[in-house]
Amino acid sequence: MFAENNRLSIPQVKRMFLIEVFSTFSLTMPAIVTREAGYYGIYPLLIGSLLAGVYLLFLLVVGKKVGGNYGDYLREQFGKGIQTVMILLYLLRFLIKSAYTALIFITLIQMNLLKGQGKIQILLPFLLLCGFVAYEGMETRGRILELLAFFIFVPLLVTVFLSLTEVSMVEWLPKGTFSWEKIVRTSGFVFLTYSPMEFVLFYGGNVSMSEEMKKQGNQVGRAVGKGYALAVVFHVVLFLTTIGLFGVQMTKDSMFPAFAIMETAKLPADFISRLDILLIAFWVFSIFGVMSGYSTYGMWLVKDMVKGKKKGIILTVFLLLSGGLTLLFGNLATATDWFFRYLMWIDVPIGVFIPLLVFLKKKRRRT
Amino acid sequence: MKKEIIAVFILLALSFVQKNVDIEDRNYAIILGMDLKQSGQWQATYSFADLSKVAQTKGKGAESVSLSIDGSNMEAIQKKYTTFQDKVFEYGHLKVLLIGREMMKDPVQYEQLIKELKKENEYSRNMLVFCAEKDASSIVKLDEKTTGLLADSLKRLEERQILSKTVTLKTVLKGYLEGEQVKVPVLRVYRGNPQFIGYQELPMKGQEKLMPIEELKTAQKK
Repeated sequence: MFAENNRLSIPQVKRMFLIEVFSTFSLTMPAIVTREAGYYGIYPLLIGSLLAGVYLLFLLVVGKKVGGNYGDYLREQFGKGIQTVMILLYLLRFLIKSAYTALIFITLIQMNLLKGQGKIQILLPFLLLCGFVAYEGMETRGRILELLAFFIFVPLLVTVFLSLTEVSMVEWLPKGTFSWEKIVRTSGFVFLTYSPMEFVLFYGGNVSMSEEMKKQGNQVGRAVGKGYALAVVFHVVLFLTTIGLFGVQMTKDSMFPAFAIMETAKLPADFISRLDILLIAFWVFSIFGVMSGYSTYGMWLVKDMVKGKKKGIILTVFLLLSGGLTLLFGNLATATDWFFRYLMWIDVPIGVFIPLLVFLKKKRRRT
Repeated sequence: MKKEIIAVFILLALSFVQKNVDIEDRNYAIILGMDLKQSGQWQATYSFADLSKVAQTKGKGAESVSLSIDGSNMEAIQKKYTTFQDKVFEYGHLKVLLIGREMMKDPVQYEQLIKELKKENEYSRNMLVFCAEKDASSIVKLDEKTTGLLADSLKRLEERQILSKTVTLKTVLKGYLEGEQVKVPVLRVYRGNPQFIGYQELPMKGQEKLMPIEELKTAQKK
């Protein structure tokens, strides 16, 4: 039932990783860092990103040890009982995260495109599309995201470039009272936003490389490293542009501050007078990339637990539960508050603990 | 194939239950004039593009209708609108904001206005901002008499006659919140048309007294 349509090329890995890591919090990052750190927002952004880089290195080491399918490796090394517990923990985390991602999508559409439209009407087609991509296999997802990367990053860079003339560099200078406590806390929040990095564990065994490429060392590591570096650069560029345009006070109280960049940027000759539609498209595609990741990897994790390995059933249950949770979440502001607490105390600790167990456990030879 | 049919069926079913509002059933505000009345109430004067008359003007430009609503804040004004208008109120396409002099004179009310404009992302950060020599409503109401949209005339006026940097809502909000001085072009009604007469320094946080209008020399000569 599980078609072997799961081979990824190295450029696909790079783009997929970039979208997965950058997307969910790309447009809210300026608000996240300025809310507490104020005029010193650039420091936590850099510190949090650096911490995420360390986490990525750790994940890459673990990924190299795993070598192939992550779920299969957990069963081989820890036995079926512990593997089941670990997989269920992953699945539960992916469910909660995908529900939150879907809530961002709904809020975005309700605020900008379909005002007054019901949540279910917006959510259902989106879930169907994510389900379809996950059903078709990892290769299809890799190809779609490779294609979408163009539509995601080109409009973003064009609009940032067009608004540069309006950017005031005075806003970049730190001022006011400095608080280490706030810097540390905000750095922690920034680090938490990089949590989709753990997808790197699920690439293993699905990347197709020629013999020549294999000889050139850790190609996946390099691709993922480039993706991470690009994500950090994009975050910094977006942050500096947003506060350069609107100042810290306006940025910190907005829900989607980076959106307003689009209103400021203007294409020559009024070709499109307001470019916010480009950023909406950017974020819709991005969120789709992340959401489809949760459903794809969630499905692959539990494939051995379902009789007959029926992909359709696994996906339907996953997406229904995720959609149900999204509807229960309520509004985005409250959900974000709870989501960050959840990430800090439950999700990320588990996301570190399980790979740490894998890293520390002496590898058992396959029988 | 079966799965694709199910997916198409679900999407079709959804299209029947979605709440669509046709463009004819929406009222697009193009200009907003904000005044403070003697009673302490706010008065919002909107100029709406009259979509029902677009076909009748035969290429001479769109017509508009204006409407003044009183209330204690923007939310109250919008609520009031819905009580007597059956069309959906759209203010995401506003092109111009005019602030009346009385509104700027009252630091408390002006701060409240800034807060409300900041809170609502629907107000385009890119809309042009002007001050009125007296009340903003008299300038907004000119839209009903002018050929074409007043917002377009004001945009042309801003491009051709006002040589200083364009002042948008973003400039005004950022200036107030970051403590930067912002000078806004002042308009008045002159022979049935808006006339640029000088600049007004917008009040800053905690500033009690409004600065006088810096009149243009050419305007003084007239």
